Amino acid sequence: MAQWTTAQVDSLAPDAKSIKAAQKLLSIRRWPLVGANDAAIWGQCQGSGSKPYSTRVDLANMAFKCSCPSRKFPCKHGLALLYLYAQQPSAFTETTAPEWVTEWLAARSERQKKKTTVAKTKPVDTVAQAKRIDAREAKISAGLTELERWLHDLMRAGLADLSRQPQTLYADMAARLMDAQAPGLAKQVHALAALRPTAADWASQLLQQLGDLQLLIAAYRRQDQLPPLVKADVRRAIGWPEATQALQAAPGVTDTWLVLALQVTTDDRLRTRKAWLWGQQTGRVAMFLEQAFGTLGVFQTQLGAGQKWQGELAFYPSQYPQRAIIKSKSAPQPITPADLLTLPCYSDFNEMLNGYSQALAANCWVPSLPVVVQGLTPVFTDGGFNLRDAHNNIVPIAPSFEQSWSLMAVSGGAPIRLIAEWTGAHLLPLAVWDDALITFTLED
Amino acid sequence: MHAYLDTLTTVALLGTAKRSVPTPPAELRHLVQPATPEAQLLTYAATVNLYLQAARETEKTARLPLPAADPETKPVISGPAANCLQQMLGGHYRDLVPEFLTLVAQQQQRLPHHCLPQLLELGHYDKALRAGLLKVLTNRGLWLARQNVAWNYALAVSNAADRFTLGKLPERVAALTQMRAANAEQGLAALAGVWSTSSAKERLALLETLNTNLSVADETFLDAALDDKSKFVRQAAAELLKRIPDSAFVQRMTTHAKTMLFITREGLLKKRLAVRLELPSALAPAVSRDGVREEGKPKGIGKKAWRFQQIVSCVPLQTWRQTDSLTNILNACPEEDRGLLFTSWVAACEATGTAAEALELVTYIPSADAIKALAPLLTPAQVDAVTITLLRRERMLSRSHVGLLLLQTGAPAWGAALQKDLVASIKTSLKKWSNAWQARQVLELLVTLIPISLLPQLRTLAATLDDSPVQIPYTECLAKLEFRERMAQAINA
Repeated sequence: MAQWTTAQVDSLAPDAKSIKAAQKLLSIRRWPLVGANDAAIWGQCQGSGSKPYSTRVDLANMAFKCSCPSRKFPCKHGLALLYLYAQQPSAFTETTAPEWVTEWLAARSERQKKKTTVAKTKPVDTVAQAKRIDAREAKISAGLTELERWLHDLMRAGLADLSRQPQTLYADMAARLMDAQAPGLAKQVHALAALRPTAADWASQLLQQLGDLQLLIAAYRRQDQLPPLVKADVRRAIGWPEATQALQAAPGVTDTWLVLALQVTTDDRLRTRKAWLWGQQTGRVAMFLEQAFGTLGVFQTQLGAGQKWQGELAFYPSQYPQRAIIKSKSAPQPITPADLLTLPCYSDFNEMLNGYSQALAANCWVPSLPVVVQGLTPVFTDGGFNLRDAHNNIVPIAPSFEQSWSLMAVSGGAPIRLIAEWTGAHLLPLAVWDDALITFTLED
Repeated sequence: MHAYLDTLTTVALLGTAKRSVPTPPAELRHLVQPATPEAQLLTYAATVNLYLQAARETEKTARLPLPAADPETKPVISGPAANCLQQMLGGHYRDLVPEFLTLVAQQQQRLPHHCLPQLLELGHYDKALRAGLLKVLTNRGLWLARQNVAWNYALAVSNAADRFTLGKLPERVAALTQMRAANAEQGLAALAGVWSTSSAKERLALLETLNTNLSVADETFLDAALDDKSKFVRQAAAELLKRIPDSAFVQRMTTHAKTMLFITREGLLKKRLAVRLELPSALAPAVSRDGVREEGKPKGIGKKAWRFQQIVSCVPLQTWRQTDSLTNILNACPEEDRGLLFTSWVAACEATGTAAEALELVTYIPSADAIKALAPLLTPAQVDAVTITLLRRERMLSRSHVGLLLLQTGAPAWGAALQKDLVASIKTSLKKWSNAWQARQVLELLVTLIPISLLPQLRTLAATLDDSPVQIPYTECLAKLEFRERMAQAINA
């Protein structure tokens, strides 16, 4: 049986309320029946009704089913069963699964088979596909024209005039870009609303971000003249969907991958989980993204911060490849301090910034740079928390990071080796080794 | 480049309709030149920004680095124990944090560093948690407490004399208490040194620290404080003085009391015990100086009775026991005065009583007030014995059950007999509780008090609860007890 941790179960919960509700069910007395085998765990939980709820979890594919009426997914019973499995594995005896479990697993397997067969047997209609691509190109092209007109209107009138614009200025434009099937651009426009007009550098920040949009428009229009990898980066920034089928077939990078950070963000009802993976032998860093919709959605890949596993990753084509898919992975093991020492590491901030310059030179739309920097000491100054390197250079810690005091406590005034994300302006701490690996799992 | 970007920002603010876009620096002239001024402005701004991002340099700080924390000497708690702590800090069974800290202190272990900020913050808001927290704060915790003013309360342990001189009032109180615990004479000298320059509020707060290691050596200082300008300081000094049985204050009060409470032997053979109360109709000025006051009278008691109660409560019970036992005296007391005498003696016992006297009073009338006041004086074996009696007297457990109150306020030994009786009471109550709310009130209280060794016996009771309205609260209670068990196992492993 694979070892689960409480933190891993936490990451599967749809919200914090579900975790609390599940933790109230953690007495084995509430579960007259629990069992497990290699494929699944199951149990019956005594609720307020006369009949207990039957809960099962498919461990191989991370799927849940429960007879309770909850609309959350996974429900508190599913989570509680996994918590129990993580905390008291000895309570789960290896037994033959009851019928209601085997039938469910068989039905799932059947559906999966059907899906695969359909996918394999169904021929790709290249004509229809080309039509769809042309239609989308036309929509995006129209969207770009509209965005450029909007940008130029703003510049002509001046940013000082923005206070006269409606409050939904950015949201309206972002919605039009979504309609134009350019979600990448829509996201960038939407992010403009987060800039506070009261900030001292608001005008220059806004101008720079609007300028980035202009650059992207120009690059997209010239995409046929660009090298293939740059073209791929531009199309990704616009929001073209990435084809994973070709990636699955392409050779990947095999390594021991260390999962050092998990970040979950929610945009409207879409939850996105970003994992940073460090390759121990190759020194490659990969970003693995997964999405789940609403409280009913669950992330399909079982990932836990602080784990390492042997696996093959395929990187999306890019001038500076970061995003990847997981083609295969072995059973996870916990990360040890020795593992962290093998990671390529910057010795100070100047080296880190050089690395960032190279990344920007390769792909000027690179969102952030995952880094390992040694010899850093957290310091608290009047302006907030900063990190100081061995040469007394300082960079600010991201204001959104709420665990700076924990970082101070781990350091105790002594230098630490920090795993973090450089956003271009701030360092966002991701993990640090103390008595054990401390990962700063971020969830908004 | 920075200056050029500033110029572009100015143009962007005013608009290209009013200002023209400046010629780009030489480094940008090889770029494709956009056709319109608006496109030029945006393209130049984005490109310059990219140049600046790629060439970004860090700022230097002239501040000296903080001195690093001293190395740790104790082993860190195990991973499962750290998981339990994380869960509690996340809000799950947070009320068990004090028990967790006690277990960690007993095992001579330390807490994971990254959890320290949350614990120090909890201690900032919850003063009751501080004592337990201070026992497990190692070098790193003290170093961290120095970095945040809100956590300075933890530093009184490390350098009491400095904190007493330089700290804010709560820190000074903590530091002086620490000094009194280490060296009572030194603590008193420190207090005397600042007494005349302190405000009434400070004097009151600091005076109360003398309760730690209070002795006859403090009498002179306290006697002088009876003439303090502040009424509250005078009252606090009198409260402390009555806790020193050999003090002149207690002697004075004993003399007064003997003019109000008469315990004699009557009859031909002088065997019949006679008890008579003469309630004082007025207070002599000397008595007023000793802190006996007219105001502050509790409800349901007359003025004379209030004076009597205040004076008799300052007299050690030993004074009256010379004639007969407390029980016999109370029995011999006229019924209408018995309550007043009992209440006065409970207060006297709380100040200077012994375990035997406390036991006698608690057994005589096990009222909630008496138990609250006297339970801390009882030995663990006495708490067990009295609780057993109370449980047998009333099997049905409720929030107001005095047996539960005694378990809360005393320090039971949790002998086998008490465990057996408590399980019997729980069993009876499970049958009698008519709703979940009633059960939850008691179970939530019990679950943090009872030893985890009771878990197997309590588990067997759960089997009898099918379709009972108390099944859910009882199962929740067992879950919490199981968490306590896991917590203890993880720390002791």
